[in-house]
Amino acid sequence: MADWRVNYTQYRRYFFDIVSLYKRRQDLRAFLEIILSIGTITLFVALAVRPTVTTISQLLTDIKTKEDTIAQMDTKIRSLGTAQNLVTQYAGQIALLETAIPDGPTPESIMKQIEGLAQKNNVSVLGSSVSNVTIIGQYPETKENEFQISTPEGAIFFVFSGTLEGDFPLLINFLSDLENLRRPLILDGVSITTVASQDTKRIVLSVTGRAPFLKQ
Amino acid sequence: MAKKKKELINLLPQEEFAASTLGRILTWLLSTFRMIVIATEMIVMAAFLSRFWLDARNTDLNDEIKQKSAIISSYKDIENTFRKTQTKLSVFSSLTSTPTVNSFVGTISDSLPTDIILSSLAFKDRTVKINGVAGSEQSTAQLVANLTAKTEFRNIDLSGLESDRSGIGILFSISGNTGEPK
Repeated sequence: MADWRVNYTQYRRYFFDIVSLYKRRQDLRAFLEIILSIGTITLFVALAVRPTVTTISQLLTDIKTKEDTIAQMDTKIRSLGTAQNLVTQYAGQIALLETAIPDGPTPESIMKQIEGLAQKNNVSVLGSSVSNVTIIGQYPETKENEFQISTPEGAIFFVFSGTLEGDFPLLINFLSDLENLRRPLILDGVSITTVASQDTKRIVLSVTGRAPFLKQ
Repeated sequence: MAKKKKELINLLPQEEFAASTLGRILTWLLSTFRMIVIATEMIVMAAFLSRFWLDARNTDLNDEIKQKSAIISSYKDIENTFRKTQTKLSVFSSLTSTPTVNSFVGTISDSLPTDIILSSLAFKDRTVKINGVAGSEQSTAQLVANLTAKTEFRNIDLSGLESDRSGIGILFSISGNTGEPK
């Protein structure tokens, strides 16, 4: 007889012995059921509970983040509503503020204002100038003697200067008007000098300052 | 009649295994594990069902965020205007909070004794330089004292004093520091 037949008979007997043993012995059955229960629980935990819990915790985190975002958006929408009301309410003043701190250098307006104030106060403009300033195009980040970012708010300045002649009280009035312009100017240098020429004495006011503006 | 043998009837027959200690422990373990398996299945089912609700909630929140983003976008111009206005206001207030040069000139004019004539007045980098002609030394000293007494000026020095060539008066030069002029 072939070997496999001997083995087959032998293993068949072992198997039926195990089955009969399983049927006969309750403790064996109990142990097997416990092992199967542990296996089931492990399978559930590994394949079903863990990924689901991970997904759910991720979903809960997402939901919490989105709820916070929505709360912030609600606050922002309320603030924007208030801002809209304020902008509508103070539209006139905002327009004045546009001329005080314009979007862009508008050097011509300063020159016009200096000439206008000179006419108003009856003083003569001997000369006026404005530093290099970018009227159209990209502003250079920093360029010496041209731009100075000196306010924390990010205002940019261009330099202007003017020389005027007239009577002392009139020059003082001009200076006062210049400092009280709607556009706030920084006067870096002011000098009032008496210049003697032939038999007459003239009083000359020299002003150097900076005018603020914001990037467009 | 022979006495019948008394027979014991056990209506709850216990098997030998169930009565043993190992049997009891194993039975207890089996019932406990069954409960654990049931509980695990319930957790899995609950998790599976709750995902539907959580997904729906997540989708609702996404829609809500989109909706509110659209509302915020519609306010973009207002927001830009408001931010720019705030920036301009802070620039304006920072530039207008310092004293003016004109106020310094006014203070100097008020401090001048009657016999002093100024030839030049210069303000630069927080310094002031005053040149003039005084009728007497006392007048110059008085001007220095007057300026020193003013809170707008600090470190007032008489930096030069000489006789005028014509001999009419005394040329003087005063320097000092100011608060930051506008």
